[in-house]
Amino acid sequence: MDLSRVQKEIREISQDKASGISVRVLGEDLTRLEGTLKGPKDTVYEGGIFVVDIEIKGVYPFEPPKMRFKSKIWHPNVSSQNGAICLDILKDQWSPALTIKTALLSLQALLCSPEPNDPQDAVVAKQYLNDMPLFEQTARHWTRTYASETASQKNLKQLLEMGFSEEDASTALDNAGGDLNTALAALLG
Amino acid sequence: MVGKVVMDVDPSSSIEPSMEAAKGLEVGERVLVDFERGFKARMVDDGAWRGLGSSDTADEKKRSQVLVETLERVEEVRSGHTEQLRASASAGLSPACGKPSASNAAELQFWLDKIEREARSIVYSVVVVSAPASLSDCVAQFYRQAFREYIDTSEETSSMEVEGPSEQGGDQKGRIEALMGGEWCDRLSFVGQTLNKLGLSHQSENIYTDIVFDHLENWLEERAAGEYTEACLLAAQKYNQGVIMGFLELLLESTSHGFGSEESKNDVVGQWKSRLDFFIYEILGRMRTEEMFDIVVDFPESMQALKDLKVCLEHTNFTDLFIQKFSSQLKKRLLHLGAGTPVILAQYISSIKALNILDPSGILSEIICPLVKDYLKKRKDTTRCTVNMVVYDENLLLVNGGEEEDEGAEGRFHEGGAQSTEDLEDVDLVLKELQWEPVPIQAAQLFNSASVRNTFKTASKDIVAALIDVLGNKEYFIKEYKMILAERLLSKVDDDIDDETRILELLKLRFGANSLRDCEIMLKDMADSKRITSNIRALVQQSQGHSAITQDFSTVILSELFWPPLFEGEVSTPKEVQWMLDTFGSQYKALKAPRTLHWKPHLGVVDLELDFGGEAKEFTVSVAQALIISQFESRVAWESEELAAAAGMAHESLAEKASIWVNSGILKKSVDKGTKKVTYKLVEDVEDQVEKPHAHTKPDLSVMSQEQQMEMNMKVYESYVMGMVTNLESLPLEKIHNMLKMFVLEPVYDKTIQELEAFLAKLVNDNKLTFDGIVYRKKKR
Amino acid sequence: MMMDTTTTARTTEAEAAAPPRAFKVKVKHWRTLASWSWNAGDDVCGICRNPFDGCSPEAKYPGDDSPVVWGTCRHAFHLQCITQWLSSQTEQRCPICRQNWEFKSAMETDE
Repeated sequence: MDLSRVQKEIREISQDKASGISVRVLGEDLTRLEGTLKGPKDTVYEGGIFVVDIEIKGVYPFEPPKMRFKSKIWHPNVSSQNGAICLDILKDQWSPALTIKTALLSLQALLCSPEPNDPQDAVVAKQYLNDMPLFEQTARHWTRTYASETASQKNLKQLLEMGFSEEDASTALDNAGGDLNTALAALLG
Repeated sequence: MVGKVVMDVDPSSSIEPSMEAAKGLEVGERVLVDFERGFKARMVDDGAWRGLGSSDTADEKKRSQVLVETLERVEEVRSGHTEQLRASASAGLSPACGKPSASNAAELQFWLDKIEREARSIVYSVVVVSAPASLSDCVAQFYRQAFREYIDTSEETSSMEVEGPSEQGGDQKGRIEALMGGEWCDRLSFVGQTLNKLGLSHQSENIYTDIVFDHLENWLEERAAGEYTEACLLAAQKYNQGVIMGFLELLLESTSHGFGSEESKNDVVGQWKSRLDFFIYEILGRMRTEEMFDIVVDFPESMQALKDLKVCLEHTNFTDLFIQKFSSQLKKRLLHLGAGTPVILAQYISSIKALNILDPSGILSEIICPLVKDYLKKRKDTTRCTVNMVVYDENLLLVNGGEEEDEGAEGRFHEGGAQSTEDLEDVDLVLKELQWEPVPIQAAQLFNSASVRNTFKTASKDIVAALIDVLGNKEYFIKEYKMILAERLLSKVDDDIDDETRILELLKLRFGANSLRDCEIMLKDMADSKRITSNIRALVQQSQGHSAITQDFSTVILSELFWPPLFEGEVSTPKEVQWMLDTFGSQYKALKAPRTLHWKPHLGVVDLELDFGGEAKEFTVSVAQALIISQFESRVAWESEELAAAAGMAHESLAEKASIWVNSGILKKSVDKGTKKVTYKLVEDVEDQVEKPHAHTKPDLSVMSQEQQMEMNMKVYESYVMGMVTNLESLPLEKIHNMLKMFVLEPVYDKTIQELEAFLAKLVNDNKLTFDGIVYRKKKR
Repeated sequence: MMMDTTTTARTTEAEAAAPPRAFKVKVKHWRTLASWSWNAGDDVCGICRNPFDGCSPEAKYPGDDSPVVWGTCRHAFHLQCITQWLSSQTEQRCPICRQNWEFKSAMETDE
């Protein structure tokens, strides 16, 4: 695996705060990552933060990273059972010019425009095609139930993004009764 | 024997009366006889004994008289009682109760001893109370003189076997008799015995102890002070054993009226010897401790002094004193503005080496070195000086060790399964390592943080590691090395990179090849450039015949990504040079397409010969510097703006570049008072002025220093920092760091807190901020 | 090399006093600096994300050891990178534009 490329990619993603995606490394090596993406505005996924499991294999970037939704999501191209994703660029349309970031952004785009005619989950796809209101209702419900951050998670995340350690940040938040600004003031001494 | 007799006698009934009888008795005949006729007479007659008989003050005289009278009276009573006892004993009666007794010989002896003891204690009391104050002076004077005579004679006959097998006093005595004569020995013995009998052995011991100690101290002072190349400790101990102990043994023998047995004699002599040896450790240890700074300066020539000090510290409890003294010497003599960083670094290295000799466990250096280290950290040029020292000035890289072993080295270590002879040696080494030596207690108290202990061994044993430790981590070191290497490669006109290649190989062994990849590419660029230049020269020669790329033109082609950032700038390139650049460039393109060259005509090095119509002077300067001086071929004086324009460079950078010629005394800079215009003029009698053609003539550099890079990278955050301190008044470092991380997204703030600290220090330096050790504030104007 | 500074320094000659005596500057050696570039834009290789003027992932040195090639689609990659990609694919397509990949000849590149 081209380690330096993966490192570079992770650094790049962490510096881009605007795209609504993030990635962090799980474990010791760079073979297992966890990405998150924000549900796009004006979609049934709005307000959700979706966690994606990413596996980088040794041949990367000559083969695509393996991606799977960890958060349950109601979407025609994602398995409602195991989060498996049907997206061409993660399969035969992969190109080494693509990156983890572009893949995550593609997933975000997929949430905007599902492809019910090339479904991963036939049940969802059928509902999408036949009963849009019910689909939207279910998808919104799933988003709220499975992909929404509570306020405190949000605050914690914000502190982590500022560069505080998870331990310090959560202690500070606990002491501050969950209030972000109080915790921040405490952390900054 | 005495005890047995006592057991035979009924204690309650028999002792009381005889106690009465014995009271106030007896100074053994000899005591008073000696005192009266011998001691007093001989001492006074010798003139060494002035106190008793010839005291100046009436009071002293009176006291002497009382003393003598009292002693006489005591003797009278004693002898009376003794006679009486003997008489009754010879009459077959018990000396205690006057009854007939079977064992009266033993009993008589018991009582005689008892009377003797009692008398002695009375004499002692009397002497203590009424001896003239000058008595001890007299004794001291006597001993001092005797000792002086002894030492003088010993030194005169220095052929005398000082190292002789004199441990057992037998021939010691004979030797001294041979040396000093029997009479001298008798007199010394006599005085010793008499003082002993008078119960003054303790005081007299103090007196001659002082004399001997003083002498030893002076002896060491004379021989050892400021002299670090020779071992003194062993010599002192030999001197002690051979000379001093000879005198003392004689004295000890007389004061304890002969040693009871050979064994007890050896005990006493042995104790004295250890006592004096300990004294030597103390004196020499203290002296070397006071001299430690100079010893380090002289290191490694001062190795012997260090070895002595090591033994002294091991035998005394001076470790704390040593730490305190040496630390304060370092502070006072080294860690001040007057000392240049290379000097401090050199002394730092020597200190570590020296301290590791004193204490191979490395604890001493780990306690003392942070003092120097922390000071060095505050100096700007420490990184540069350190790298120069490690890489160029000293051959530190060849020294084994290196905590930063790369994977390769570790691999080798684990692979070695078979037991070769080398392995066996390793085992020996390991076993040696295992010989655990306890940490000096005082030092251990100062030094028990577990984390520190893990690192001290490597850091203090390996000088390079210790130096890198000053810098913080090896990355700083490598970064600075890269800078220095780039400067060196780009500031010379020759292509010789053998030395640099060798150094790089050594560095790779220590830091691993990966971390030095850029440097390796830089060196390869140099080699490639040489090859390409000669290829192209040959090509041009073939195709053009007459107009050629001459031997005196060369190009260094950089893989720019791997070099430190280069300075921007411009010059007007002379047309011959421009022709060569163009020709070279098109040839390069033909060879290496699609690659092309991007010229940096403002950078580069020029070897110049300045001819003043007489002797020529040579200079190696930068392109800009060369262009400046060239303008003076056609005109002797240039106004600075015109000069900059002529050389094709920015006017702002002219002064800096021209300074080399001003400093060399070739140009004269003058400022018009009215117009403030600067004029450079060729100096008339140049030849007298050019003192050192090569002084100050380092060409200005092509690469930016780490500091300049940092400044460039940090500059964008300055406005944020200034904004913060304006709004929030005062801020600590961490808070500024966190706020930058939080708020500055364009460009993303990715600096370390150390980098920020350095940048803030610069702002403080520039009078933009103030820092009180805790918080930064905006500087009030 | 004798350097003729007249090309650069004659702007104010009229007012300048003639040099009173022989002051000569002789250049004994002129060493200049240049950097090379593949001229593939200041971008990175789309496959390894390393700069073109840097090293490809497996190479130790830049330049000769890390050659850059162009496709007819004008996209450039490190030779090692594109070769590895193409050899893993049945269809030879540019990773960036997905057009059929064909190496552009050196002549065409050198335009």
